[in-house]
Amino acid sequence: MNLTHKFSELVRAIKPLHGAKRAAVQRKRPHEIPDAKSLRDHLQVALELELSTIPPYLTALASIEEGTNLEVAGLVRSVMMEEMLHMILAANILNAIGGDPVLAMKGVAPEYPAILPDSDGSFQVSIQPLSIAALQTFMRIELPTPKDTHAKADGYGTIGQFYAAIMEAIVRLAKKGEIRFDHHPERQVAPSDYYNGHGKVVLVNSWGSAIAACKEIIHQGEGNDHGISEKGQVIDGIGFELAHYYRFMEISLGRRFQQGDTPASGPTGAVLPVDWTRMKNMISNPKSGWYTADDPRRKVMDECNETWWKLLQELEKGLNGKKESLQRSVPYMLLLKQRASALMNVPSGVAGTVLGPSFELPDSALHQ
Amino acid sequence: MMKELIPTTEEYDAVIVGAGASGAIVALELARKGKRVLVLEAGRSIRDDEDGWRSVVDTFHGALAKVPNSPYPPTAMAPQPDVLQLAPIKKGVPNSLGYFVQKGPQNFGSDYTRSKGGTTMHWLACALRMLPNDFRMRSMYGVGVDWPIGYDELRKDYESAEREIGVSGDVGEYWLPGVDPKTYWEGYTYPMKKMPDSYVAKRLAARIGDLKVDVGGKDYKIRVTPTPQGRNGMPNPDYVDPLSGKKGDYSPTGTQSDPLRGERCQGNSSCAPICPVQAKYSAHRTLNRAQALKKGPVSLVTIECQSVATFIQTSKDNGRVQYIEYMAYAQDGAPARKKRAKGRVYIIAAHAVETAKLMLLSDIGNHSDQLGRNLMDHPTMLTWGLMDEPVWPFRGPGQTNAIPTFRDGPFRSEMAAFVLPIDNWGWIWSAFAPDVPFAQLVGQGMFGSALRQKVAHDFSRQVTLQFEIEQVGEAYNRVTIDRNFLDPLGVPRPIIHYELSDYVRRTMEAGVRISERIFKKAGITNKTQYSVSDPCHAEYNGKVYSYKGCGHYVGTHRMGSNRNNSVTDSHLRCWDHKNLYLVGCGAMPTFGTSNPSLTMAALAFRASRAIIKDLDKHTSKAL
Repeated sequence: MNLTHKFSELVRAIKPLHGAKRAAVQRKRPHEIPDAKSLRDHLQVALELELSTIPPYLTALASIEEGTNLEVAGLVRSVMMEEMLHMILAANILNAIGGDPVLAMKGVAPEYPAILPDSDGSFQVSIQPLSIAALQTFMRIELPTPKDTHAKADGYGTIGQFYAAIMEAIVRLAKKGEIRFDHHPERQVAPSDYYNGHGKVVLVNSWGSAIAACKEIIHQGEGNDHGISEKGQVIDGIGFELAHYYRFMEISLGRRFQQGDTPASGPTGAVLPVDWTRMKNMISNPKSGWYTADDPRRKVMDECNETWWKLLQELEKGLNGKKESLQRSVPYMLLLKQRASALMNVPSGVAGTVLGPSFELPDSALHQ
Repeated sequence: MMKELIPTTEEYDAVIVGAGASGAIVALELARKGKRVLVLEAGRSIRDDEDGWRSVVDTFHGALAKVPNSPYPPTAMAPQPDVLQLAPIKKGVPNSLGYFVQKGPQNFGSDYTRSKGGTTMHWLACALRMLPNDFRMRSMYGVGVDWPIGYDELRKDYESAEREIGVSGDVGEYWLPGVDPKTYWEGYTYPMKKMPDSYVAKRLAARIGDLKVDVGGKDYKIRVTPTPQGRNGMPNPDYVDPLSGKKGDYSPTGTQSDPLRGERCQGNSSCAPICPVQAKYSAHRTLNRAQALKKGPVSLVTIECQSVATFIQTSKDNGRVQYIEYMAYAQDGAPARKKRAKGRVYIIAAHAVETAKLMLLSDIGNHSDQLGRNLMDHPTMLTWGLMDEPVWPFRGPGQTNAIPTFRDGPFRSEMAAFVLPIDNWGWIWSAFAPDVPFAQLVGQGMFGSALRQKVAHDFSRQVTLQFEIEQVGEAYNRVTIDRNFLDPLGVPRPIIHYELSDYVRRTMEAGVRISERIFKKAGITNKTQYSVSDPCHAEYNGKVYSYKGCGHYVGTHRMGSNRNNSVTDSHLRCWDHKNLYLVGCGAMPTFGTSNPSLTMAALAFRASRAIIKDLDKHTSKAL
């Protein structure tokens, strides 16, 4: 089967969404975030939104057989790392305007399949192995916002639309003196605290830096000025940072972008080798509840969920001023990836598939 | 007779021989000024993508004996020394098992890597600056020679080198003997915060307490301090980037496969030879930065690998280099093609041994008779034992801390200075742990849970101290060539003459005594064994001391104050050939107890300035 050909069709199938979305989102008046409290709520949603992308990307990464598809794995991994950056950036803004980031709570961390928090619900995000279908979802998550789309805080169609509403509110409320950016400076996650992928942590202490943080998020995800590159320019004379949407497109089409390419040209660079036979045949959206308490499969799934839970707890503490918790969270990240990979060696009992991580939180996570 | 037609390159601004750290830095600095540069590299290159990196990591994982060159098998056309080729040298019978012909009387115990990236492909990445007194050994202590420049003249270049390599360290915790931190650092901070101290170093520091040891009639306090390292850590918000002038804006530099991804150390514990996440600096990064600099669409820097320089042609009239002859090979065993490279300036940055060899082959630059002489290393005497508490070695970088107490002191007029890194990998270097001690236990008939318990008990208590001992230049320690010993390309192999002086051996004797004191205070049972059957050993006062090579090749084309005592001036310009620079560790007249790569990198920045000046001064073709 010619997968490249097949996917080209899928990419084309996505494109009409631009138009469809435009029709859906164009209103007479942009949705506004009315006040400081609402802005804090929306930034908490932003945090949840960024968080919700990490499990599907991590699962996709873990589903690539160790030692194969290295370039593809590198791309998925780079996107996943940048989603962590985005989460940190959202937390920095939220902290600066006096909020308290929440992560380790049921309902905050999503259950899969999920729709992106507060989005228009036009698509679902599943926990699934890397596949054409998964990439289609990932590209939908990172879909560039059409040029003439209004900002939209609730029921947004693209992430960019959502952040546009946040940026608009930041500027408006800052000008009116309704928000300040001097809360909890000690909670700001600095470059020295953050294990960077591409991109940089922005310390938020003014409306300008808050806007810079939002722009970093949008540009890394969707690209800049409707080009393929995050910064829209060559960086340090070396390469360019490709936006997430286009990185996933590279994998889908099995070809790299090169300098000079545009969204219209698609990738015209080197061949990106993708060996689809070396992805784990993981069952989508597994649940620990499928197995009885004495089933060894239940035990390994519970262990993986426990790690996810501990990771969220450490991260939350880390974003609320306990810096040493940020460092403590790193081993949990590595362990989570290990456990997710290990689960993919365990038969699920369904149609020759294997298990995967389920990212479920214990009932105790309802209350903090 | 028909004249041989030899393909000749176009004329570059500069031709550099060697794509290691020195050559890379010179290429980058020249390209930053718009100069066009050709780099010739004798060895192969690993591919600059994930697969390429992964394949060398796999090669290392698959190697039975884990030695520095395990990930990088040699090419027959550009062979390299390997520590597995060391063998005892009998009188009059040189060891020519490997690439070197070791004439002795002692073995030079080190290797190096002939490939793009040079020895940064397997270095441990300790990035120590030299001490001010290291530059003036003759006037301070009456041994060795003085440098023509002092520490102060190199300080800014050290800062450039630390930025380029990406050094993690903590100035505040970095105590150095005889050094005034104010004038030594001038308010400097490293680009990144220090690597965390290893647990074994913390425990040793705690157990050693306030121990003082007598050396040469003076008491010295044993101190444990962090070691600055060329691996990515946490950016230091106080760091001011010397290039941009910006504070707190430093980003760890990227991997060779992805220049934008600055991986940081995660404690994979195979730094030497290879960091699987590429947190450790390699010269590939600098070469990538250099090659990204373009004039129009064309890169200013061209790198030709598998190109072995074999001869430097100079003019009989004015001594200027006219071209460099080199052999380009496609693969091992296939016939190589003779070529010529032309430039306005020529830089030999091929490694202390290779640079000396090429100069000797070309029979140039040796008015002083110092070429190839003064070959030095840090002969490293190890002492090892079992601590009375678990110290959990084999986690994190190979060394995060050292005892710098004996890097300087009045004793240096009698015996060599030494630095004492605290090895973080148990007995890996001292007794081939974990494999060999494990095999010994099995050989003793242990198995099952008894074996497991024994391994858990002993291996968690393994401690090794490294006595890295300073050498000063001796005329008899040298590289020569002999056309009876040729490599497959027909190029003479290096002949190594090497002997440890009493200046070094006295330190070995004192070192064992100091080690005993430290072990006793720290609760370590000594397990050190030296033997005359060790390929690298020396005797002193009737006792045998074994040592290892440290991979620190220094001194073969030392700089100096005039053309009678040295091969180059302090800008590394050859006294005898005005458009020829010899850049690398070979340039250092002495090197104290600092791992030489950082100083080498600093000198490459210094030389680059002089080269650019030369090129700009003589805009006409004839330089």
